[in-house]
Amino acid sequence: MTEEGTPSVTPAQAAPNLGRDARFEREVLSCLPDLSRFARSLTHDATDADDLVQESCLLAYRGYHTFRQGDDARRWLFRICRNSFFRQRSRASRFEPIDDAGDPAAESLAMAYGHLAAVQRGEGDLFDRIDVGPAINRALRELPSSFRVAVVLVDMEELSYEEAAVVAGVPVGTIRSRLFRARRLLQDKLFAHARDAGIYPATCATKKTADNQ
Amino acid sequence: MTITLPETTVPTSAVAAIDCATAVQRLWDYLDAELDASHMAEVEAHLRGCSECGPHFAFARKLAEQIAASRTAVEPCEALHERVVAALAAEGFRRARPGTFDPPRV
Ligand SMILES: [Zn+2]
Repeated sequence: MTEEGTPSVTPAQAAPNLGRDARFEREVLSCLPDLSRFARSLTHDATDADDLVQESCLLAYRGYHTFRQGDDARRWLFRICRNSFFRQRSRASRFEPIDDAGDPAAESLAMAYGHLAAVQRGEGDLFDRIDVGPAINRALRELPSSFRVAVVLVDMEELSYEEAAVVAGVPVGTIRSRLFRARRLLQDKLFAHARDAGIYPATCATKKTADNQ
Repeated sequence: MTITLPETTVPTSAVAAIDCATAVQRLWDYLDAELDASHMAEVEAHLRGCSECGPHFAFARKLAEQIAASRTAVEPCEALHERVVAALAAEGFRRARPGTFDPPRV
C-alpha cells in the first residue's frame, strides 16, 4: 500500500478532531470483530485478513468525512474492505471468469435440477453424510471472489439483496445472479466432494440411477 | 386487474395458480423473503398443493442454513485492535480515554 499523498498530522492539528475520533472509535472501531470475520471470509487467511482489516480501518479513517451519520457503519466498513480486497488482488482476479451474465431464474431451476438428479442417484441425504461445515468452507474457497462475496454478505452477514448490492457496489440484479449462481455451484461442489470422498460409491450411484429410469 | 392487499394476508381467492417451473424459478427469492406478498403467497400455495417441489425448497433452505452456520467465529482480538489503533495514531487519530464520551450532538 502506498503512503504517498497522506499528509502527516501533528498532535496540534489533530486536537480539534478529538470529538470526531471518539465518534470514529465508538461507531467504526466497535465493528472490528465483524470486520475481522468479513475479512477472514474474503481472504481465507488469518494474516491476510488482519492486513486487510488494518488497511480498511486506515481508509475508513481517512474517508470518515464521507460517512453519513445514521448510516450503518458495519456495512460502510464492509464496502471499504471489499473494495480494498479487490484492489489488492486485481492482478490475480483478472483470470477469474466474467460472471454477470447469469440468469437468476435459470440458476434457481438448475438448483432444483441438481437436487433432483442427486436424489435419483441416491444422494439426497447429503447433509447427513458429510461434515458440512468444512465442506462448505472448502467449496467457498474455490468460488470466484465476486460469487463468494455475494454468499458471505447475504447468507453469513444476513444482508438483504439491496444492502449486499450497496456493499458490493453493483446493481441488485447482479448480486442476485451472483448469489444464485454461487449457491448452485456450492451445491454441485458439495455433491462432487462427497463422491470424491467415497461417500457415494460410483457403482452404487450408477445402479440407483439405472433403477430409477 | 390490480388488487391492493395488506402484507402477508393475501386471500386464497386472489392467489394465482403457478406451475412447478414458475415456483422453482422463485425458489431463492422466496426463501430469502425477497418477493412481494402476492408472489410469496403464490409460491406458498403451490408448495401446499405440490409434493414434488417441496423437497427442492427444503434442500435449498438446508443449504442456506448450513452456509450461515459455517460462518467462522472470529474472537475479538485485542492485539489486532491495538495494531489498528497504532496505525491510526500515525494518521493523527487520538483514542478517547476510557470513560470519556464526546459531547452530545446538537
Ligand atoms: Zn411443483
